[in-house]
Amino acid sequence: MLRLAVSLVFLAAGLPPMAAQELPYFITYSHDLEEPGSLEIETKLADGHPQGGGRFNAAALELEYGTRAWWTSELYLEGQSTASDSTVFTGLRIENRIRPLMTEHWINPALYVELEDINEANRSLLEVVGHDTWTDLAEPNAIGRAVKDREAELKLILSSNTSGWNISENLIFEKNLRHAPWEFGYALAASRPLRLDVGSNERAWAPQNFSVGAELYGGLGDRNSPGLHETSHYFAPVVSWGLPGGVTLSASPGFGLNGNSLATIFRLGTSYELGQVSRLIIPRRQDLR
Amino acid sequence: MTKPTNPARRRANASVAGSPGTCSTHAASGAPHLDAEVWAGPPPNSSATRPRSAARCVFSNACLAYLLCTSVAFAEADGSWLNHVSPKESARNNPYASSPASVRAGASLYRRDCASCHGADALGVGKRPSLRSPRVQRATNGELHWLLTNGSLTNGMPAWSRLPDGERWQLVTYLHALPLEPAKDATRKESTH
Repeated sequence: MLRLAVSLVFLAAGLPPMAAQELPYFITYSHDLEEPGSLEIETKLADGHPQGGGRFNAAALELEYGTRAWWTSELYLEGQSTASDSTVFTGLRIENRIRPLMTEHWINPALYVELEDINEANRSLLEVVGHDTWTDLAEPNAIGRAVKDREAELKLILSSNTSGWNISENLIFEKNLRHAPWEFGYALAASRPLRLDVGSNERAWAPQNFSVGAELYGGLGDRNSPGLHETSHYFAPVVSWGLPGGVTLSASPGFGLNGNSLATIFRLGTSYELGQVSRLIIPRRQDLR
Repeated sequence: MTKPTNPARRRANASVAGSPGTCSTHAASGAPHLDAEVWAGPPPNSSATRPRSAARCVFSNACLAYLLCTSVAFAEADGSWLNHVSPKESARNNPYASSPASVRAGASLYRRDCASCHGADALGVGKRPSLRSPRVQRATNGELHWLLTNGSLTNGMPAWSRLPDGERWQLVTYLHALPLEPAKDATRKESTH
């Protein structure tokens, strides 16, 4: 296994990095998909401190592969560490996003299907649904990790790119495959690069390398009790910085909007895209010449 | 479930998909069942092996299907996208045309976003077409801008609508500033874009 990992690192070192302008969102998806054959490696860190619980740092490693130009597949591996408690692996997610329409429209839909095999110690907060509140995040790890959550998550992604802005809306439908009712949630986001073309300044600090925006997300209850009561909601400004070497850094301080939410949650993200990983598996004719 | 204790046996056992009769893919392909040769394993009717074998079978079939889909992901570009460009789109003016600064900016964007597929020299890589072909060089500014905005998703070209409009026009400026590809390759490349 170690040999395979080392081989992959060396192979990846020969691949060209890409640093396409990434949207700065942590929670919200847009209709933009991964380039076919490319692999994006991304980490998302979340730091929060629920009342009565320990401060936690949750990490998600995301591997995003462009299967086709209209289909992206992803694997998430997640874990968290809680102060005065423990560090635990909290599960994985496999997701696929598909664009049903082949050209751009005023609003572009994308369909999202995800299978989650996580436990209740998971604190990545990659979505907020149903009646999720801060009390879920204050549970000791020993109790949380004993409860498995095998869930299916569907999202309807609506997204528009207009005048330099990206505006995205996600409707979330999540079902615990064992016993729980369908839960609902939402995520809204808007962002824009600081400059809409490449100016004479092409240094790392050039404004075209920065995107700023905001996200708003929260739960909408479940099938038995839909609505906003006993749900949590967050507002989070976001910023991303595309570095010349191909790495994108992003950050987001999030603020709870009601008593059921964490007061603050701080997120940090890094991403690095490897262009045309598929060539390692399926050599092209010209590559062989 | 009784597990093999010998590491060699364990490796051999891990390399096949389970007990006979549980996976039609392997049965049909005539793949040898090393379990039987190297390790007798639990009795054939043992309920302990069946869920795991079925899960492996489903997993291997899913992997096979995924690899098949991936292997046909990059169809030959055939220029059919041009049929989708409206005359109004085709006639759009490039606000960044003929500006040396825009060519430089476009080159920078090309290196960042396009070179990994189309090559640093824009002559194409594998089935990814040359951007110096006569077909691309003959395309109007508006047509290339349309292609960058919408992509040609069924042919493997992603949409770049997330790039701001100005950056897409700068890329178009750069593409039109590229020299035509060498004549000896022109015929072959013409057929791929």
